[in-house]
Amino acid sequence: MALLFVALTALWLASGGAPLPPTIDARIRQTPALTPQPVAVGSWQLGVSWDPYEFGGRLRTAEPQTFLYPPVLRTWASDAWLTLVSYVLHVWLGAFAVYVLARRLNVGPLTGLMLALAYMLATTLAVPPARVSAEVVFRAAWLPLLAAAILTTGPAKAGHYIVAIGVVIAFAGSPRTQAYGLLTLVAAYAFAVVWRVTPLKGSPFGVALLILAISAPASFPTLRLWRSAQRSGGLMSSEPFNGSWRADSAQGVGINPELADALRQLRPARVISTCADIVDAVHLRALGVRSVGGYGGVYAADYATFVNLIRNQTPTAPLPYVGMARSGQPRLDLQQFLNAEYQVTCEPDQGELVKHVDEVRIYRTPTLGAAVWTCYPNRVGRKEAEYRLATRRYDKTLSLRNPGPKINVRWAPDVDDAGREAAEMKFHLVEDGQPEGRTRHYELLDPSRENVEAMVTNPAVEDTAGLDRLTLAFNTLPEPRFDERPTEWLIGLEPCPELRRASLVNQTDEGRTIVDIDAPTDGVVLFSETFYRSRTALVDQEPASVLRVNLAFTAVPVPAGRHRVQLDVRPEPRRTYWVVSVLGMAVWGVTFVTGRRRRLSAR
Amino acid sequence: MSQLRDLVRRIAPNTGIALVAVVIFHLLSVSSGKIDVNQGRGWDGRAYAEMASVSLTEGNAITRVRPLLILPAAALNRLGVEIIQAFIICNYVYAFALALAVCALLDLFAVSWPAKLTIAANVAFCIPSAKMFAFYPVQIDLGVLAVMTWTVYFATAGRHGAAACCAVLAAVSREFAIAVLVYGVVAAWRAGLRPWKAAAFYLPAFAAFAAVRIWAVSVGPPKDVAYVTISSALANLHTWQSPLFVLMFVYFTLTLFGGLTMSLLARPVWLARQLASRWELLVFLAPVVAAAVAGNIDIWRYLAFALPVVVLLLGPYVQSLNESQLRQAMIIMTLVTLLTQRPFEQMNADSYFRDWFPLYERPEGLSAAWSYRILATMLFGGALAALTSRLGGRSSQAIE
Repeated sequence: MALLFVALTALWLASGGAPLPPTIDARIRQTPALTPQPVAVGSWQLGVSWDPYEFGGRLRTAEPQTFLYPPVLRTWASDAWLTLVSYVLHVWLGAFAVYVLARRLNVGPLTGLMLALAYMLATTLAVPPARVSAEVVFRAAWLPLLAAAILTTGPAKAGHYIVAIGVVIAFAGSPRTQAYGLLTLVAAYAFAVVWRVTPLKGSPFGVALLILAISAPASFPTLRLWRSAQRSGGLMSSEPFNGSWRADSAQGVGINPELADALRQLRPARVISTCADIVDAVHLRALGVRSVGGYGGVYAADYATFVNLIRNQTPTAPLPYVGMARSGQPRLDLQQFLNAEYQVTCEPDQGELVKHVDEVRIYRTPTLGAAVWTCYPNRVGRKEAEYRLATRRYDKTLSLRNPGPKINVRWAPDVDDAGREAAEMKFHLVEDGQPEGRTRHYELLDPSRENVEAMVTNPAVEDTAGLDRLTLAFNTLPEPRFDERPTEWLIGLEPCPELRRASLVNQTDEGRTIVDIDAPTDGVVLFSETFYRSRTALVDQEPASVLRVNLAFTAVPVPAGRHRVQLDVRPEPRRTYWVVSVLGMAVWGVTFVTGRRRRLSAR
Repeated sequence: MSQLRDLVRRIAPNTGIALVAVVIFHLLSVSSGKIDVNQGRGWDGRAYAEMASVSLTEGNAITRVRPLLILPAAALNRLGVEIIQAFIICNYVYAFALALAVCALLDLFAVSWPAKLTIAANVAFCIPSAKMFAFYPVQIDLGVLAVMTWTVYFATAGRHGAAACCAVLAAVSREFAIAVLVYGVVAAWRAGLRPWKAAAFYLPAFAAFAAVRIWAVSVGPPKDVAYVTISSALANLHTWQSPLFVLMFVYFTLTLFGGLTMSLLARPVWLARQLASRWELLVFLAPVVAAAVAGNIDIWRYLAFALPVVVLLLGPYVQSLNESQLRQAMIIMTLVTLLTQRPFEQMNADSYFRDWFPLYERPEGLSAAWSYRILATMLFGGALAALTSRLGGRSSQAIE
């Protein structure tokens, strides 16, 4: 039956896609439409080719640590194979439990097999591929095993085991899995009582341990998810991040449908926001395509980690369970969203419309290419880091500079759109916000006296605000003072004389990036990679420290000179899961052997 | 005092079972999520919400002929309850009333309380009788099912006065009430009443059925919904030229109420004998099946109104089994229900069409997942047939 299921699964994978990590990188590199093109960035021309798979545009799976599989397994088998094996084993176990249940009810073996096979077909295979998640697979194995355990034990003894198994479920499951598990326990117990099921000879304790053993490696990652969901107010729900759930929900909260689609297809959003509490994809609302390139950020794929970083401002905070990417062709028409800015709201209730977008602050961090060399970052407090990133802009050298002054311009009544646009270009005005009649809000990119004089005397400009027309001085706000403990690293707070691109040597889906850099002075290599606490780095094959800079990015300090820098992710081995699993299996084995001996001696 | 004690003793098990059904409905409600189309009102729910919050003359010509079960929601709305919440509250009440009616019907066959509990729980797990309304609450069909089932109960129990009263309520609830009215007349006649007397009992219901239609047309324009006419129904028969539609019709008929319908359909000979000997059930089924056959691709939305007949058939089905067979049948029935109805699955507007109305979404062909669902249904059917063939051999006497 397991072999049959393997064949069916292969058919399923071939027919509609699989929940396997795709090698999107390769696909994107092969896509002609994504070949580098020069693009404008804000007020200045980047003048270099934009490679979409480098900063922000590179689609990839989330942190490898977040996968279900222990690292030891991933050393000898790919995620795809581990997924298939896990999938087959889980569903086979579920079917086995159905068969045991059927036989327990004196159903004939052939009918029992039919029921078991129908169970296999009706559970995971009947779920559309896009909706298959680890949880779906997990439930397929758990629930019939739980029911089998209770019905095999009988109502008289089942009470104790219900408590034991219930405790495991309560601690080891995600919210939905917990609910399913506990309901199954209660329902199975009710069935056992109502239908007066007599206990089967054997060791029910062994059954409970077997369940514990087989489920431990799978259930403990869900503990992370559960905790993560708790932190995020339930928005992460219990579904692994495969894009579909979130995007569906996003539509439910009034998110731009194209963005929702983009999230579903590509998960390309590059957003850094620091809402006080949490940021979720459902809080994002695209403002439109404006700045291209130059601005980095975190990927929506990494948003869970990002949420964690934002919410838990300590490096020891646990990482959320993200799950696996889904397959699917990249949508080229949605590439524009790679370059969109987003408004981010802070934690609306699930299902509510996104409101109060004016509370949003968006922080952008340029990461030109896979990695760049820049000056050593400065230590600042959290609030100051947020303030600087919100109110300043990076220039070509990755120095944080004040943005152009904000002014309002009331255009003369006879100025048509073409005339206005020509004047905007001439005076380096970039529109900011919605127009109010003839008055529009701008950022003045060229605040030089000559430009301002020419603007205020131009007949198309009827009036200006935010600018003293006599002295040509701009209204400025006083800089706030921050009295806080410096906990953050901020790039470019002090002007850096230059920025140097690193040469990409190698980059893998598993989170490894190797670059060569010729550092003019001591500084850091800033990677276009989200910071994980499991990041490790080697500089010229020697261990080096890894810094979290600009709230969520990764940087590795390097001395002046030529260096090869290797950035890795080294997830901690999940010893706990395996210890629980192996111990469970061992005790189950001992119980089985001693029980058998006792029965033999009794004869 | 002893009479009161007897009454409590008599109704307590059924009330307990109905409360279990309400708890299940609540769990479904929590786990399914809520439809977000049209601010949670859905499609036809928009018209119901309009009728409940503004006036019964609102809505459209089709929804206006179903005023009765909008009234409780309207009353709650007048008391300040938000309109969707009002429908949700009503659905809980309807779920309770439906479960009570199912238990009452099963009591007519002296079904034991564990079997009643199992069947009522199965009904509460099914899409057409619970999950649909847990996800899409601005609907009246759950209430209609309750009213129709109570009417069938009274008619079957020979309480024709009560049945006639309930029939009037059913007549102004939904057009499928015609099935109940005809069933009531035939059941009364088969119970020994003269045909004219049997018809007289249900005359007010028929009058109400006609009156509400005349009223619905006269009070306002039909708005955006076309009337269902004989020609449109005949036109819908073209859907039967599509093999996919036929396949889906068979699938949804088999899995209509999960293990309940599959268990019955897995014993075709027994079922045919039952229907032949109690042909008033066929009289009930005829308009319901006809509506499903000519009702385009909504299939199970119409077939759902066959629930009272399914319960009426389950009574003798349970009677035909001894205790160990019954235990086996009930557990497997529940397993099939859980796997075919997927009661706790979270829904959204996508999955609503993809899983419940697949022909709306992909009329040209179904996704691969459907192949496995259909295969699983065939295997479940085969397993149940294998089981019941054993039962048939052992319990043929009991059936007779």
